[in-house]
Amino acid sequence: MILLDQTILFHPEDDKTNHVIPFTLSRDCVKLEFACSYTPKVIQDEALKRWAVLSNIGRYVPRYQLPLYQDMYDQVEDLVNLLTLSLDYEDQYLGCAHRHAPIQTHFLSAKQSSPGFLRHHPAAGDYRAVINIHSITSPEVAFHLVITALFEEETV
Amino acid sequence: MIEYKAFEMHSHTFHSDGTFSVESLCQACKVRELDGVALTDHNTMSGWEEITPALEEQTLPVIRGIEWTTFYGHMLVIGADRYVDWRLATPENIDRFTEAISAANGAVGIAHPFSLGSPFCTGCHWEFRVKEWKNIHYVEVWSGPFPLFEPYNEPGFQMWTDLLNQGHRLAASCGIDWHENDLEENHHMPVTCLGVENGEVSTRTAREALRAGRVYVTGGPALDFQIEQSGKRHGLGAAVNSGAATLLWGVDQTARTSQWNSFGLIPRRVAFIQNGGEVLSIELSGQEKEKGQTAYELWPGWIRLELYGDYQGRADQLLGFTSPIYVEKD
Ligand SMILES: [Zn+2]
Ligand SMILES: [Zn+2]
Repeated sequence: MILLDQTILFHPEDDKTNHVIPFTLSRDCVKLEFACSYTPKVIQDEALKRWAVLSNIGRYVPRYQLPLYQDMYDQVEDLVNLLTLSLDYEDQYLGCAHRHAPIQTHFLSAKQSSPGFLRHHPAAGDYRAVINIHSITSPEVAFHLVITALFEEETV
Repeated sequence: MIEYKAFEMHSHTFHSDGTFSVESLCQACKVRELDGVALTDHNTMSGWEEITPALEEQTLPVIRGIEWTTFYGHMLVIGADRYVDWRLATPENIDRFTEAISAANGAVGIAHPFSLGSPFCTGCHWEFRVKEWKNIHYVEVWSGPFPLFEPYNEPGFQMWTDLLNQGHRLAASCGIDWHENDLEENHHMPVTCLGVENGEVSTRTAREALRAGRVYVTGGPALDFQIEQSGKRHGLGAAVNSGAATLLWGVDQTARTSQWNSFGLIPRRVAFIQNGGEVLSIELSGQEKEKGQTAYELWPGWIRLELYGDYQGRADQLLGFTSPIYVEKD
């Protein structure tokens, strides 16, 4: 059963924030699935990439070391947006999938959860899907999330 | 009785963005003759579920950690008794979170403080405005696969020294930040050595060593630095009084030798750094195990030992260093 199917648009002003999506599971299920995708991943606009690289390098590198980084723009192959998914059940943190692939599927179950998430029997209760917006450089990023609950009768 | 053991203190598996499994990480660390590895996946503890007594028996003990991968900096959290949420940390409120971790007996370390931040490596640069330094226990001053050569480690090392000079008590660590088994077998890998009780390697003893400052970093030989004062010996992280003291030091080249002796690493001298300045340098004779002692008048502040020598064709390179012994006004 699909519990949620949502596309959320994020912008540079959402950079370094968490977007919380609460949802409720009304009865125990055997598996909760989270299909996530976001686009764009890679910043294709060369002018934007150039601006992002050059306007930030000085924030991190001490002045005396700046010459070491003067070719930075040429060295940066891909500049990317990074959004990750973390999950909570009631007051318990269930983990996070901190990796770069822009299309990911995760699941929670008692026997095993997908990498990044603790084993968790999907009991009825309040859950939170939290999108961690680590970095947005593109003018707009679309995040698509589909949450599916699988019940006993569906898996037999 | 404190014994120093060799660790990799920063690693990732496929539970975050690494390609290692927990098991393959442990196997790789065993090949490196390590005594323990800290599993510090980004923002998750799910890899801990794969740590079994059988795995630790076959490979090596795994220290339970997590790398807080926040929007404003990365922080290594080792051995906390409970999870503290990383998601709400901001530059202004970080003290509240380090306090909670510290109250849960966790050791808190600033990871790679001078890595490039967003948009290059998201949140990798330390931008937190810490006011309560007592809840931060160490700084990862050597980071990355080639820690002796990474340019960003130089300001990180200086940051550590500056913080010590401001009166804060902080140990220092090294972390390869190991994500995948991509290092050739002949890749040189410096280590963090932790002074653990009775040589026991566990999450508890590792976090206690970090919190107490019983930590040194070496690219090669085992190091020893103690201060004798009024008939008592004091190790790394301890506090002594200013005034007359004896510095006791040791360099042991028989430790994990096969892991570093083919990299042109030749120890030449030990130096004592007090309050940021080199106050004493002692030439080594080249013996396998060397130790010595020197009478020295301590000023208030801190003192650490640094090891210098040849490294891959370059002379007088920093090859290792200890965390400080603190000197209080008598
Ligand atoms: Zn990583
Ligand atoms: Zn990191």
